[in-house]
Amino acid sequence: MTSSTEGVPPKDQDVTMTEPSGVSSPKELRNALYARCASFEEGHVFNQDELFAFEIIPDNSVEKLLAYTKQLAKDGLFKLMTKDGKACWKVVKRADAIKYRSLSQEEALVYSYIEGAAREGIWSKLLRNKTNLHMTTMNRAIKSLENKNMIKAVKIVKYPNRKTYMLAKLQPSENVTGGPFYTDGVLDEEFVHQMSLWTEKYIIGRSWWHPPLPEHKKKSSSKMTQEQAEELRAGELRQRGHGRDRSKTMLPMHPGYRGFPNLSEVTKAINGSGLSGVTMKESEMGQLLDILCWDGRLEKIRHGKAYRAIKQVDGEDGVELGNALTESPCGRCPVFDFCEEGGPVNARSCEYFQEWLQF
Amino acid sequence: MSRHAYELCTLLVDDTYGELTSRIFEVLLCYGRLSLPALQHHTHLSYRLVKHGLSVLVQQHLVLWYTSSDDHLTLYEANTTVAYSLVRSGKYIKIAEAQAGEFAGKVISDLLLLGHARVGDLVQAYGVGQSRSTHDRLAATRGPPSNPLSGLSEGRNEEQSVTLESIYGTLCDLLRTESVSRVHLSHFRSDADNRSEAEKLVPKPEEYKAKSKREQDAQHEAAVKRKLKEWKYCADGEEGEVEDLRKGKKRLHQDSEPRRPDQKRQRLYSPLIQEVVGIPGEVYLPMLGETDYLDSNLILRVNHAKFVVLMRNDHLVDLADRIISTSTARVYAQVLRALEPKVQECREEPEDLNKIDAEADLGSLPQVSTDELVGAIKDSSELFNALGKSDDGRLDMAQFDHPKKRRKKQVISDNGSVVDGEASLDEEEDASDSNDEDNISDVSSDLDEVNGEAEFDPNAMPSFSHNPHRDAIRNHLLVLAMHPLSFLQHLPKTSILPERWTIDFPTLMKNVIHHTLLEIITSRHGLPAARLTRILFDKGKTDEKVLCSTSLLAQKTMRSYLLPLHKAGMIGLQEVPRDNSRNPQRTNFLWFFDPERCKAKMLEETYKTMARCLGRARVEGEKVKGTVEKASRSDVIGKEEKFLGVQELEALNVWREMDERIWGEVSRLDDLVACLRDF
Repeated sequence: MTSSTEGVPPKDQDVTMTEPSGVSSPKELRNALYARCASFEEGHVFNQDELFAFEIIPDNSVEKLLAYTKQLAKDGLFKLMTKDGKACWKVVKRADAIKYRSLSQEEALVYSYIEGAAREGIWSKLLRNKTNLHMTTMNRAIKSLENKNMIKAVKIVKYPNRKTYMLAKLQPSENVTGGPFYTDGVLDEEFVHQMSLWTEKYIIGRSWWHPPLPEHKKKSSSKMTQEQAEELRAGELRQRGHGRDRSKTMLPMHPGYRGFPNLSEVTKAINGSGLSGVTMKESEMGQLLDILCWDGRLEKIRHGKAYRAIKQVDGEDGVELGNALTESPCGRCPVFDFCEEGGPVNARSCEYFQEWLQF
Repeated sequence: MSRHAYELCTLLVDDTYGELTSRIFEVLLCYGRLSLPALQHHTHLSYRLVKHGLSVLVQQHLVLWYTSSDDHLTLYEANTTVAYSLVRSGKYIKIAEAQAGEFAGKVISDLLLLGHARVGDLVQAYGVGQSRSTHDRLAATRGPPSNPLSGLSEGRNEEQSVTLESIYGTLCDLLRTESVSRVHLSHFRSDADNRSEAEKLVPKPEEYKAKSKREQDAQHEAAVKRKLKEWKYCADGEEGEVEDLRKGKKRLHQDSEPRRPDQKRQRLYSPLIQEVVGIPGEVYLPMLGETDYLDSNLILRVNHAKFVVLMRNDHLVDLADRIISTSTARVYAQVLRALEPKVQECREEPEDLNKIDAEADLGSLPQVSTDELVGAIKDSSELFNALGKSDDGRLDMAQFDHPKKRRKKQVISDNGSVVDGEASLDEEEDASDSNDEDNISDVSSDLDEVNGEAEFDPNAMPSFSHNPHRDAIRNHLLVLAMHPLSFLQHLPKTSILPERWTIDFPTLMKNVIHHTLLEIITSRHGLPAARLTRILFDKGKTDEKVLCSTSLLAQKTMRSYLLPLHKAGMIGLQEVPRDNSRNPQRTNFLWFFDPERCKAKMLEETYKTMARCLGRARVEGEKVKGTVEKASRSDVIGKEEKFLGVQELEALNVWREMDERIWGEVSRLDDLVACLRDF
């Protein structure tokens, strides 16, 4: 990073890096100090002793160090900080320093806070409180920063109405985006649906035994063409890979069966399936599996460690899992609450009953 | 019980026993306990009619009465439980037929119509060979209420040749299975009256030898409870009022084949006697008399509580069939059948109040051993192929071993093939709560291997001898025990006792009711609504934002499901203000799901639906009133084609179909009521 001096405007030539030499001007010493510090890892905080330890400052004089760091800070190359009441410094990248230098005072202030918020982003109200700037001033600063393509507005899933900003080059964190289930801060219901469908099928295939259909047996016993055989095999492979659909004929597994998938297995499977470009984490997959449990499609067994599909689910295979109440005309009657003997709605004149009895 | 339930009960009484009785019943429901003059005043009926109606109602146990010993005033009270049970008559008969033969169904049907009856009268009635119809609903609605026994006969005269022995045999069978029970005076009184009566009979709290007042009260309470239980189950130990009944029971004949051990009877009768009367030696066994006949003065009635137990068994088997598999359900039916004699009613009160808080002690529940079940299931051929295995056929039966045993075994046979990280995790947890543990033969973890080599294994203990029949049954039992609804609990084999199975009914029924409620919510409001409800149940009171992110639903979608649920009373909303201003802006809104409330709401709706169905059935009946009346004339019955015109026949058939349909629906609604209320 120290080498990136390309595109630096001519006025910044005075801070180009040079090697420390025996006879050194304050400017050279400054550059040497900067170069030395920049060679450390990014974000390292230097205190006074560390800087003296470089043995760049002549005679280790405090005044000189102060003067140099002050100048460097003024150039935007050092950032003055305090730790336990003592001054310390952080190196700023040369390119960033240039950016800062091109900004007005307010813009720089705003930019520094936004930068500080990093991937979490900062809410405009909070930003105003922190910077203590007037609304219009701040808005102007934000606008100009946005125009320079230095910051961007992001949408936080938790608070979609809040104006939030972060540096343009950063990817919003998962707290902000809400994880893989959200696209541009909006819940991607279709994605959730597809993922849950796949997961469910995968688990059905592994938690119930699907007895081979009789006609399959017949086919395999009689002679069949190569094409047919390949087709059958492909079908079986497909089913093995992607799980199964529910069916009424499926039978429970032996109690000693160990194949009920657990969270990590499902996660591995879905990431290996190539269904989505997003790699799912276990926590996210857990969320999805929880949803399926709450939907009454899966159940947790073995003290919640493994998952098993539920055999019958409402609305699948044309099975409606209603009971007497929901199937009777009263169970779905929109005016059931008003239904009263002698009232405007009653059993005698009920249209729904008429319809139900005719059926 | 609510207004709708009362409406339903009145309709049922009206349907079965006619207008006079239903009018009295309705007034009693409406005003509560009434004396005869007050009843007369409210019904606007003559003294004679009220007396007549009341006698019918009392005979049917539909009205309870109590004469206070202080002022000798008799008060009458409607008995809604029995009134509601009228809707179950058909089910009772079916169950009895399935259990003890067709004739038993007939006996139950007659007992249902008569309320209670003397054995002598029953025998006489059957002995003369008079044909009785089964008590189907249509007969009851059409039969004149004053003479219910002469309901229409459908030409079924084949039972004329019933012998006395078979009548007594059937009655004894029914008594033994507790489908019918003896009538006790307390059965005509309400619970509160029974209690005050019992309090009068047992010694006062001061008379107990206990240190503190509290202990005295506790002893008194226990004595009252014992007395009430004694009355309820007609356990003897009381002199005087049941003396004659007791004599009758003493002469009960003994069934030639003692299918059930006497254990049960001793459990039922002896402890009470010993405690109450204090004569330890006198164990009263009513079935062990010398003569072959029941006392003809013995008065019998249908035991509703037992029938509810039988209905619950059917319901559970059905459920297992639906959510596991048919073969497994068959095994489960056997378990339930084996446990049934030990279960007297669905909601048994815990014997000891202190035990309520403690974790249900599985050991104290009725149990059945694997061997008993294996003996009861004759044909297991279809059970073999009803369970799936993994592709490589490898099974881990080690997880069902007793924790100690398993650890030992893993040291010996751990070849790394089966045991993995999860297994050790399992083990840690299982070791802490070995209650759910059951154990299995420790011969091998591979079933295939077991089947092949077990016979040659010199170390195999005799009780572990591998018989495929036993294994198949055991596997199905394990499947049931593994299910999250906790259909079955297993008790590990100990050094003294063999492997046993039991059912923790309170837990199971709580799960089943929850399952039913969510099924209704799903079919009414859709899957996302069920998802939201389940989240609320799991997480408790939840803020809308949290609910939104947990349920992975867009806020708009979520609201569109929450609102109807809230409107239907399935979920509730609580407002928690953050400060004193109660400003909606500064208030937290928390959604919650209260299963009890939801259940009550559903029950209400079901009662109302049933009442509406019956109302509609009546409307439909009125449309063809003339024809129906004509068709039920004694000279027309059996010769409908001859006396009725084509149009009349057509109308009659249409009406019959409709009526059947409505009654079918009512019966299914009753299943729901039974599930939510009685089980």
